[in-house]
Amino acid sequence: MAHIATDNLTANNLGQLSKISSPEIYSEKFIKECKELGELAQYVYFDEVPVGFVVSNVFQPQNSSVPIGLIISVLKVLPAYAHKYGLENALISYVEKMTTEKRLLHRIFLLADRKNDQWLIAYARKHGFGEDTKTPVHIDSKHQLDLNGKLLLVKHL
Amino acid sequence: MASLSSLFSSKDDTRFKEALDLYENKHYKRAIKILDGIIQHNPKHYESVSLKGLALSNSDLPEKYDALKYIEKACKEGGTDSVVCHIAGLYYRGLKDYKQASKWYNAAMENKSPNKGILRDLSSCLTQTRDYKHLLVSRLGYLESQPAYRANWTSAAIAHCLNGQYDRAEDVLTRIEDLVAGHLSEDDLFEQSECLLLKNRAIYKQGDVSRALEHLEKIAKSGEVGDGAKLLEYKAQYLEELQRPREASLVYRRLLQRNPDNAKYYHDLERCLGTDKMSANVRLALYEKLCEFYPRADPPKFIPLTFLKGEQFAKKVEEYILSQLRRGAPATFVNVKPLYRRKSNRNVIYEVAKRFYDEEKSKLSSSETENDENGNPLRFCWAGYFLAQHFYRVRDYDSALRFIDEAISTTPTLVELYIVKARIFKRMNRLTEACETMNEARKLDLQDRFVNTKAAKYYLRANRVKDAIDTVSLFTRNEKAPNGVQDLHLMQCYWFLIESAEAYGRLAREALREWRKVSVGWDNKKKSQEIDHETVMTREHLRKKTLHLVGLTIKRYRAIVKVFEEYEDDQFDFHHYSMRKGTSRTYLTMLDWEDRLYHQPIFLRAAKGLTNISLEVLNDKPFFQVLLTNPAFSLNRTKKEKKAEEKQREELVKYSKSFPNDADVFAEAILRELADAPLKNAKRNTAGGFAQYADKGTALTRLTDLAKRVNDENSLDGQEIVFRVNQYFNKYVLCLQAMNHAYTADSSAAVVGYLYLNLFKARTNKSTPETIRRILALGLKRNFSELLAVEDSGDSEKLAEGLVQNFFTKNNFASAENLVRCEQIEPSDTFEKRILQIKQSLDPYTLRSLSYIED
Repeated sequence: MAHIATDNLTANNLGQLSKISSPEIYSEKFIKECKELGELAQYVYFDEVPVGFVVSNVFQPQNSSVPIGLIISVLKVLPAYAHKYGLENALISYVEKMTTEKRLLHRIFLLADRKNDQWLIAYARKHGFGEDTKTPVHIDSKHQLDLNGKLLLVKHL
Repeated sequence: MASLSSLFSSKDDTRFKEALDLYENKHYKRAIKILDGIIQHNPKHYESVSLKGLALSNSDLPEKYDALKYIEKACKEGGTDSVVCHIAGLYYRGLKDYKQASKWYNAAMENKSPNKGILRDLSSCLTQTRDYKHLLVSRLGYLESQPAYRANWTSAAIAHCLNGQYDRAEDVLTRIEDLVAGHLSEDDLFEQSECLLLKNRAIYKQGDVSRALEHLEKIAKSGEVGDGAKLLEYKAQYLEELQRPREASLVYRRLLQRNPDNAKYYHDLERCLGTDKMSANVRLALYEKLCEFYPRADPPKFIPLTFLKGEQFAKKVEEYILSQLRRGAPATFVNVKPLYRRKSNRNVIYEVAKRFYDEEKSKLSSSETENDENGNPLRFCWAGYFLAQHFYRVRDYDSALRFIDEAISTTPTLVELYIVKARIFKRMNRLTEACETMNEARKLDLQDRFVNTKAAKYYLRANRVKDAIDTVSLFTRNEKAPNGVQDLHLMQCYWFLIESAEAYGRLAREALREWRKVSVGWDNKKKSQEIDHETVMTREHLRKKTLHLVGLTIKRYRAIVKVFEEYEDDQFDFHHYSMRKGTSRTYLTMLDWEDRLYHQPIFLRAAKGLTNISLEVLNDKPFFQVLLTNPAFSLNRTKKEKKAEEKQREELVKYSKSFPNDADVFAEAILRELADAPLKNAKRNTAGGFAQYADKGTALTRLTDLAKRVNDENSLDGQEIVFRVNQYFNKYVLCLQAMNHAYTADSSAAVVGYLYLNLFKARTNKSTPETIRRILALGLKRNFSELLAVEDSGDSEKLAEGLVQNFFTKNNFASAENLVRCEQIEPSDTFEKRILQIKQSLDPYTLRSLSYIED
């Protein structure tokens, strides 16, 4: 079985990000911000080769005065590696761990695309996520996300 | 020097001593002031005169270049004074003229200088110039005066070794061994160990192998030798030479236990066991046994593949490759690449890898369930990577590209895949795609210096010098410079120097081609005022660009020569240092390496390039003189144009500088020197004066010096350079000698055919002196009588056929290159036909290299 691990984005390996996200192309600005997120953004390595990544943010809805959890805004794994080797699980588990152990929060949110992320939505539902229609989606972050057609899922930890 | 000071008594001498103190403390100006005082009222105080010369040469005063005058005067009139001689020695040593330095150090000793330290310096100079005969005298002399240091004994022993007097070396080493016995501290143990091994080698070199073995066993037992591997290697060697192969084989087995990854030990073992001459089955049995002992070592698995054939090979190679591919080992192909030399192996290897690849592929598409242990996309990628390299090796570049693209589409984040893809593009001569692909790889991992270097190199191959410099500069120190070019010079980074020299060379060739086109009928057009301002400016810019490119080519090639000169000079300190540190064996290895320094492939490549471009200028001086001349007519540039030009030049100068105070960034001075070089057979300028030190010789001298350096009888490239330089000076007898050396080294080498044709042309050329023609006729007959019989009939096509049959039978670049050059001096249908034939078997990238010669 392959060795799976996660690690931070660094100035030297940012080039990998667009290779994984392809054909979707992110702006230079977005990529730079991802790096600045520090431990909130991670690559996942399959036998030392980066094959996926996750970008999460501290989630503080407009009507709230404190952060209520971490939200996964992007989660990508290369098609050849997707769904089969537990890479998505490794990334989500990582963020869960960050939420409870580092940020001492108790909710993890997942922002998924209704059309493109069907597998992910199904996977999340199976692993304790439920749909959240109450929390208004707003991410306190410098970067803008297109929220059209997105579904917000939540899991209480 | 300090001990000199005590000798003086008179007033002048006291003041001289004062000046000497100042000199030693680097107060050159003040020292010179005092010396001037002494000389003024006592011009015959030669110590002062010489010291003034020495101080001047170390100072940065404007009179610096008069230093030699003072030294020469002092030596001429006061050359019997040991102090004067010593100072002269120091002066020449400072200039790195070690021959002269030895001469004056020696004179100092002959004039009874009490300063024995001179001998040490003298020894270093003598070793540097490889004057081993006199080295012995100085080393022994110093040992006599300072017998309390072991280093001096070792030095003497090494001097004996260098003179081939191994028995005396042994004596010296034995004597010091006896003297130090029982007095060794822990710090001395390394030196002791090295000296013992040196002595052992000295015994062996005397030819007495059994005594060497005896001694080796004795020192091994004493436990004083730290280099256990060498002890065993020597032992095995001695046993083998003493015809005791069984015992030797046991020693090799022990060596294998120490390091089962050293392939050489396996071959040695086989030789001792005699299995290397036995059937494949016996050998296989041996290696299978060894595999059991060393399951993690590669050689026992790999070596059988080099001698097995047919079914057996297929079975073993499958095991070998699959075990690595299953692990996803990236280097699998590199490991089996040597097996591709035998053509029948290729398909077998391909079948194995392809089967594995297909299996992996089907596993990937079938397994949809999570945690499936079978399918592994990475393993699939490495298999594709293997196949791409296979097709690259068998020159099927389209298939190679197909496999690498499939691998990349699976794992686009793997740097290695892009590197191979770039290589494939390069071979296909799609150079822009090649360097861009390499750059894509680089962007995946910005801190990977290897791929950064590769990207820079690929840019250079595509003649994109600026991109290359900008890329490589990410890893250099760029203080006070816009890029890393200066740092790369300082770091002696010769891969960069040679690749950029060659890139500039190609660009220069293109620019020259364009310049020639523009220049046709220019003067007439100019006179008739047909040309507008813009055309004039374009031509002027082209002229400058061409000059810069030719100049930079020469400049970068010369930088490599300089790097190697520095290597040569670097050994100087070790003549003393190694003795003190007791690293005698490594020191001897270093001397050997230095002796072959200028025969290294990289140096030969640079020397060949430099000779080519220099000869091109020399052989067409009027053309380059025009190129070097500012236009006689006014360019009528506007102020704005002038300003823009100046700014551009300034930037280019900054961008291309090789070192901070580079006064001749584009080698214009060198170019001018070449273009204005005196008549072909002018004698070398050996007139004295500082000038020859300020800039060692003229462009022509440098060229002949270069030829002398590469003059190695066994090197084809070296002999070609020697030939071409001598050809320029019309020294045909030396040319003949060079060709004969090349012929002896390889009687079917393509270059010999080219050299032969040159000499043949010279032989029939009416302007060649009659005596030379006779010598050439005789000389050519000796090795080439059959060819010559053809020539005498005067049928040039027959000559061409003869040459093709003898020298241009191989379908490689060397054949094509030399044929093209033959065709240039003697056009012939036979040559042309053969060139076309060879071209068909060359890859597109090699054809591109050829196109630059075809110009």
